[in-house]
Amino acid sequence: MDDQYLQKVLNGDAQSFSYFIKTYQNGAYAVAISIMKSEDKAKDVVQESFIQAYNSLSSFKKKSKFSTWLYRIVVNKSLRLLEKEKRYTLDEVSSVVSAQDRSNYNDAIIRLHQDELKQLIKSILTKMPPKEALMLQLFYLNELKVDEIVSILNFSKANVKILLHRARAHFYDIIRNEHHISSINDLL
Amino acid sequence: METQDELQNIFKNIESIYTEVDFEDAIMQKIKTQAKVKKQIAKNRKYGLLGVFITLILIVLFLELYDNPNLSADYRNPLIQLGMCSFILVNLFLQLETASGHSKQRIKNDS
Repeated sequence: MDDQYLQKVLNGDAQSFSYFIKTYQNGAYAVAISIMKSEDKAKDVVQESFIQAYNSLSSFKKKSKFSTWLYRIVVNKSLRLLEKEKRYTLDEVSSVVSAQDRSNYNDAIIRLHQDELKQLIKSILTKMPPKEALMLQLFYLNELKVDEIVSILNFSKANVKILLHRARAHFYDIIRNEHHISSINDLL
Repeated sequence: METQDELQNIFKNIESIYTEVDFEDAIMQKIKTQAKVKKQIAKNRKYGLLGVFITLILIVLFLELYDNPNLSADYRNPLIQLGMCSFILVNLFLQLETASGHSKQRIKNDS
């Protein structure tokens, strides 16, 4: 389907580009917001990324999926903006949460209502360092494979796995340290 | 690996944690504006090149007339010389204006 619309846009039918916007806007927005942590900035990044994708569509070599290519543009733009604002930090995990505690947290999280669960995950991702939040977003929410994440981020496979591992550890660390996540504590 | 599966269990029922935003209108509008500006820039460039061409022709023509011994008496008249120079300067000014409009449009487009 992507190829068909891609050809139409390349043949001069600009309106066909709206197919790509409709299909990938939510994924791109989620990727941008997991890095930027601000809805307004994420919106700007997504708009700029789509415009850039439109302008350089002829250079898209179809070696990867359109979504992978688009997400790479979104990630690069977001990280560049973050570096410009000097907001990029890599927080250390205070201490590793034990397997038993993780299991308890998982049991409690699973029992949450959908809205509470969304709120909890949103709040955790907001508190996580950009690259780790991005890892969880891409791997679990956008459901991409490690290889696809590798091509989006241009990191080695080993690096992606390390970041993913650290992101998981951070996820539980935040649950443990954030006492205001009462919904979890009530269930424990 | 176990942890990964546990997290997958947690995340699997969630489609999106963020409120959906519709970007279609805003982006398509920007694309249309960009196309219009590009067209305008191409038009301005055409006018600019035409202006350069006319200026060159005028300079050659005026030099030729100035050097022509049969016409030199008339064309050495200071008023005519001033008129020629003014004509070329006005032409150059119009080209600069076009170029400045071109740059302004680019800046507007980029922002």
